[in-house]
Amino acid sequence: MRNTFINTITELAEMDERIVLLTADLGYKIFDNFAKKFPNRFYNVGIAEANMVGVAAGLASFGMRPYVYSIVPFATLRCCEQIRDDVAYNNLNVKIVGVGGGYAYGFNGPTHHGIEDISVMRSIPNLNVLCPGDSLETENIIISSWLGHAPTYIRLGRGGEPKVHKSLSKGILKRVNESEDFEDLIIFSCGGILSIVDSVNALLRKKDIKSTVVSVPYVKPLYGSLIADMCRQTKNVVTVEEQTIVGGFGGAVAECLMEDRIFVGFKRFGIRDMFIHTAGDQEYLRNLAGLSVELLYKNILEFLKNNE
Amino acid sequence: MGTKLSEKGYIVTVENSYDNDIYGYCLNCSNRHTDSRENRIKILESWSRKIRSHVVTMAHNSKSPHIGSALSCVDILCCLFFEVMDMYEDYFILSKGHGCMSYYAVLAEKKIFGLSLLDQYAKNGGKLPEHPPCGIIHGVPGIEIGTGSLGHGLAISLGRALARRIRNIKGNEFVLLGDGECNEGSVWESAMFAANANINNIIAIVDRNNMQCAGFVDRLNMVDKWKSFGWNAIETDGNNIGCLLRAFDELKTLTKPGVIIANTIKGKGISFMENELEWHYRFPNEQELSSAFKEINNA
Repeated sequence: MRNTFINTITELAEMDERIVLLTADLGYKIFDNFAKKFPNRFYNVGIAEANMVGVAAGLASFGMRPYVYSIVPFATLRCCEQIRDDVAYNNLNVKIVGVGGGYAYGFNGPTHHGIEDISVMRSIPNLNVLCPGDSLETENIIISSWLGHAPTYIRLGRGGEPKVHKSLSKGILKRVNESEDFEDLIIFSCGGILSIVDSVNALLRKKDIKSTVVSVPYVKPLYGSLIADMCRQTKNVVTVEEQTIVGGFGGAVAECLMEDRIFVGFKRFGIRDMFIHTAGDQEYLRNLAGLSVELLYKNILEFLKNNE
Repeated sequence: MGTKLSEKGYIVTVENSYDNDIYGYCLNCSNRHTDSRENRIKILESWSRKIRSHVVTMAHNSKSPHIGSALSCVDILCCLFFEVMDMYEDYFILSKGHGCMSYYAVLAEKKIFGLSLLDQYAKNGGKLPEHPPCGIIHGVPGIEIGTGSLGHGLAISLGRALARRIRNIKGNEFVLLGDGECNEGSVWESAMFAANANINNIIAIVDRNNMQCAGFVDRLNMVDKWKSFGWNAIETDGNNIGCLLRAFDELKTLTKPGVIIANTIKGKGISFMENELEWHYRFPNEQELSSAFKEINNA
């Protein structure tokens, strides 16, 4: 995902000389190509995220299209007020790119875990939140956000996420397999956990459960009517995100279902309201948080059984 | 090209709205003296008296705080808007957003928006809040960047200065900070970045009135601080128009980012407000308003 972002942005920068890339001293070597091609449009502003976002706001107010880049918690929470006041309030065309959503930087410890960024960014007025699920979605998201003018937060994985989509559906909601019927269950997935959700879905379908996976990269604005239309055709809905369940993507779907009076079996899967203090890589920590293939499969089966 | 509000409240673009600018005309004798610096200083002083009376009136009408902070930076803003800045090329951001009464008054006197808009300051449904709004969205011409939370303006200004360099557009960025604002760490993040990225088309002004909301600002040497961060720092009397103009002249030949530490007096111009902490919050009543007017006019 990370490499897709950089390749896409380098291609876009060739066409659009307004694109400026700012990094807060992260992304060792990966920007070398960009920096060589566009030396006056790449800045390592140092480990100063608040300043980076402010500078990006200034650039945007002068007609540039800045992309700022850092690890998820530093790109969002460290400079949260700058994002709200400088970027969102002034409605400036700044794209904030967070890399390593969820437990992607697992071994680095909870300071580096991006587990509440969607909830926080979602609550900022004017700010769009996009969470692509694999590299195909990333490319699509980067290009479509470049076409728009809205201040946007883009949450990426760390890199090396498996490709899930064979080809990308044209709609807003990215279904992995358009031909699947989904009378029993729809699994809405958000962000880099898509590959795991896809494996869970394969296991469920082997059990003759009519389920499908829908990846939702547009967390805000959430295209609620599209989600509602799908949910009217099923009995159960679950959401999966590698983020706290407090006010996150699952909450957004729940809000939309309740307000549209769609009463289906519903459960959010995500990180419970906790920090994980144990050291571990992404796979290990996902397992602890109940977001591995086995645990998700087990818990979804249990949920379906209780809802019968 | 300039912008102004139409009757319906939309922003309409007006060509050359600065051409009928009354800058340059003395408020006392309606003559245009552009001959000597002494005369120009006199004109600017007459402007700053006028802005001061706007400020006390606004504070009285709206019963809003921060009159001391607004009065301390009146002379700086008058220098910038009526003399130093080229309104076509240069750009100003008020980072100490709470001093915005004098900013609004200057913009109104500069005919960027109508004087009648000043009556809407801090009123329900009005267009002018107690910190500068994002004017493009909110319909206030002349203000593009909304500020208020401290420690934001310098970074935005730097971004604009950087964009000027990338796009090869001449002109300078001006930004006015408070000295209390320099408590914010983000100010120093930006200060570090400016020198490191060799941004030299920016002039910051620190309104050093030595007071902040609940006490006194640290007495550490502000000039040394900025110099050690790689800036061209000049200390001057921030309530003396002549000194300020000299400082701006000195910084015009820029090789480094420039900063003016403008030593000012909080509540300057009205004796009973000067250096009184309570005037960070108080507003003048009828009696105080009339004695303030007297002092301003006799100055």
